[in-house]
Amino acid sequence: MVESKDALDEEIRQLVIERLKATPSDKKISIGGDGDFTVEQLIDRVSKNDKIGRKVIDVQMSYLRALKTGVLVDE
Amino acid sequence: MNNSFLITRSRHDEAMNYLFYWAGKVIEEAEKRNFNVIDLNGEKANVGDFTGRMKKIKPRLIFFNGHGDSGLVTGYDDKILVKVNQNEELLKNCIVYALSCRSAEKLGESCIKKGTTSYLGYNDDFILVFEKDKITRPLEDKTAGLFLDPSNLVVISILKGNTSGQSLKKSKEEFKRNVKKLLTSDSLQEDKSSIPWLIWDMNHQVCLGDQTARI
Repeated sequence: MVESKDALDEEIRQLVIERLKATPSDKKISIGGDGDFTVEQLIDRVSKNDKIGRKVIDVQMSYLRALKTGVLVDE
Repeated sequence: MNNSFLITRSRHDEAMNYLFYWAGKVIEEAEKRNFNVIDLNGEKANVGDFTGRMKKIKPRLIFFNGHGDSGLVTGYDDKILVKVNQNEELLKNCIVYALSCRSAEKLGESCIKKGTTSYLGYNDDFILVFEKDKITRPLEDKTAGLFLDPSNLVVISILKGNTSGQSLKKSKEEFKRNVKKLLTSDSLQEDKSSIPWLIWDMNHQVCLGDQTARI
């Protein structure tokens, strides 16, 4: 069970990294008081699974969930 | 009626520099509508100046542009302007919009309990995407505009006489409009990468307190 959760987490990390790779390198992402990051730095943080990396995963997964729940569809 | 509008905006790092310039558009709108604008910019965005102006002029609308955390908002050099259980009473009877991270989580709740009319802000990090080559010309940065135009619309809408609840709704609709624009096939693939961050900001923007408040 623990192994399968780890495998799922790793799959999610890889998914997020692939999504980040689609971001142009001329962009910077400011995440509040944690600072400004290049795409390469964010990919590194996601790989390390640190606080910023987990935040990025949260943002990307929230987006995917929003698409699924139709948050962009007009009421 | 007190038609004073107080804004804090420092420019001590790249993100704050963006907020500083884009907040200038809100000031223009306020001046066009004959509001008395108290602009605590740069080093003037400090707790001493802020406290003094709040006590003396009692502005009805406050717009913070600064870093924050769940229990505080900051000004120049990330020094604290307002903190939970320290000085929220300064914001009594005010409509507040904090363009800063997380402050709606605890500070906003605490402000409402202590008499702030409405507190608009974010209950998690506010995330801004910008273009590296536009750092010296923030107002030309269309990527940043996708985030800061909808955000600033909160205050512009309040200045136009809308309620705090209506202003939140308008801002969220503008975020959504930008997302939809990017989702169309005409948008470049690289621009679409801003969408998750925009949805994040939209989903974490909240209005606490009286939704029917207006200035």
